[in-house]
Amino acid sequence: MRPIWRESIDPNMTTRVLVIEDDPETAGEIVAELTSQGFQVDWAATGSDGLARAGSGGYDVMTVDRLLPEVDGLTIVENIRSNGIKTPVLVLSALGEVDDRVRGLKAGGDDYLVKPFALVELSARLDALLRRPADSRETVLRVGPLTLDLIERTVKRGSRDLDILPREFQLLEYLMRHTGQVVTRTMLFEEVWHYRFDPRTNLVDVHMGRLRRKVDATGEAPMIHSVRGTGFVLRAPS
Amino acid sequence: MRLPEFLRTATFRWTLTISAVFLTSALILVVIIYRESISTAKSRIDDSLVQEVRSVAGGNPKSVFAHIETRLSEDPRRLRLAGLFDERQQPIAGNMRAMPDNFTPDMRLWDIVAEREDDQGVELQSAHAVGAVLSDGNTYVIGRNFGDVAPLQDDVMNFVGMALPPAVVLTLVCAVVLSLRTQRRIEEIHRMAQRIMAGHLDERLPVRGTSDDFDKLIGIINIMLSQIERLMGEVKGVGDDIAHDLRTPLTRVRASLERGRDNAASLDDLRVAVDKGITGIDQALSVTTALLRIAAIEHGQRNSGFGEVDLGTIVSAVVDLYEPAADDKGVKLFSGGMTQLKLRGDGDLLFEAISNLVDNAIKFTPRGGTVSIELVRTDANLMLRVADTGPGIPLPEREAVFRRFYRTDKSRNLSGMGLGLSLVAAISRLHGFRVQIADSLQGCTIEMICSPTVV
Repeated sequence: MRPIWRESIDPNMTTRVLVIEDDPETAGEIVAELTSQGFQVDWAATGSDGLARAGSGGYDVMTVDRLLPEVDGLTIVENIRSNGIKTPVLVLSALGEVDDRVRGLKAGGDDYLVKPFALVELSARLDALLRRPADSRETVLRVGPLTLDLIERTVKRGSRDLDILPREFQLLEYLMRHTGQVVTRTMLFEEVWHYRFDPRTNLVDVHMGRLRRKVDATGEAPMIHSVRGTGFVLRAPS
Repeated sequence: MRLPEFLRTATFRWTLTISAVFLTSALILVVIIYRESISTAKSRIDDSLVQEVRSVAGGNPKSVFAHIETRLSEDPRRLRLAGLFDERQQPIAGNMRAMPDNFTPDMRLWDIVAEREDDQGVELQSAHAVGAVLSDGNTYVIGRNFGDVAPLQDDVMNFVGMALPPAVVLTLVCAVVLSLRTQRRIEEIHRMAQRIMAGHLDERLPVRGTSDDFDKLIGIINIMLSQIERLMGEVKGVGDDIAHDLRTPLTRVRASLERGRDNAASLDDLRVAVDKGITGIDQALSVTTALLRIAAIEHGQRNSGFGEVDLGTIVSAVVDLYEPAADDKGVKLFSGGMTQLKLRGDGDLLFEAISNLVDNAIKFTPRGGTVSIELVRTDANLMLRVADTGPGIPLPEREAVFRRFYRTDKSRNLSGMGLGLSLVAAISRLHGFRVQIADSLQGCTIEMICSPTVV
């Protein structure tokens, strides 16, 4: 079964991922998951090995563990950034300390994930890093029959006007900018509310439920789909 | 060689030391008294020598013979000297064979060595002597030998020698007795301490009721033991609660996976079972994550994420996040008060704290109730106030709810962790805020007092 969030990527174009992770079991899980998603994955078990490989370039995205033998994860990120390598980096950390994320992002990481994490969360975030939308000057976003006007702040499905709340507008905008990609609850929460914490209850689901009822009216082909209980994907009806 | 136990106690050594000091000071006292009395006696004798010579020199020269007579007649110990010499220093009368060397008859004291001659023979004696030239040109000398002092010295030394051994023995006996008492006391304490260490944390060290040093010390240790017992109880309670909070979801996971394995008719059935399992495990993980976060916030005192944040913005974002959920539950959520309150802090953590408060409030408020969140300025304080119309928190439990895992009994059947409020407390402390449960007629009102760090 082909995972749905990879469908819009050209299958002939292999994406190379570098995983710098010292724990063999965790690395094994990550490599297996990403390989099954069609990524070509290299694994570096030490900081110095990771730094050497990352420095050689040629990767589309990489995950870097925060605590590594020999060379620390953040040092690797700082190092490659100062060498002008712009490969997106997802920093992984088992620490989860209060200011860890701040330091991870300051060092040049593009995103940050605390262990233990769901593998879906990891691949969704990598996907988002890989397909960062170019800062488009478009003022109207279109996915299938859905039209979102960023100036007028209005949304239409076909000819039907959607009565949408500001927060729902932001959620939909993010989904539309990431059409075909899985976006997890935490990603949505971070993007739309701009705070970083893990809402334990399914608060985002409640918001998405409301949005979904507005976007997918009864009788219409559904566009917002739930994914494995952890996220959502917006697709044009086939 | 190891000394017996009672000889090695501090009491034994102290007793010996104190006795040694006491005996030494007694000896010093004896020596001083002895020396003082000897010198007093000597100076009295010296004075009388001078007096006698003066009176003879001032009187009739002929009376000198009578004086010599009386002076020498009562002298069984042969201590007295007297001599009358003519102008050529030749002896006329007395018991001195010659005028002493290094002597001047000037009515002052001189240390001399005299040749004494009497019916028992000739003898050299050292003495104090005084002399004067009489009106007839003769020289009169009298002296006193201190040969009688040496035996006195021996007597004193004998007395000391007799008194010292009993004193030393008495000291040793005292030291041993006191030391044995101390040792018995220590053994008592040791036995009881062994029992306490073996796990009988409710036991206490024995007090004699005499208010002595030991009793005071034991009193202090017993208070310490009570405190340790209380803390151990709390730790055990927390341990039980953690176990409970992990066990509940894990039990569900186990059941779900087992049912899935045995009963799943299709891949989709199995997926549902596994999804339930993952949800349960996520719950268990979130318990440990929350614990670690509280520990990190409490012990780290990290504030690198601090910046200027607007509590008003955070409040409206929290309300925005929870509104649909509250709505679904039939609870009205509204915000009020000031719309802006700028302060220094970590926005993410404050968001987490406030959303925990709101989350709790919504959870405990029955359908049809309201939850309000307000930024208010009272006379003295700026605060965030979250009030609900739920069952409230009984007065005795209001401190306890901020402790890890504490839940009022009413909440035991509600899902969610008892960690929310202790996380709020930890975040508040990091910001220098104070959290308290306010008195309210109805429901529960929690106030987060932010005054000190308001920009």
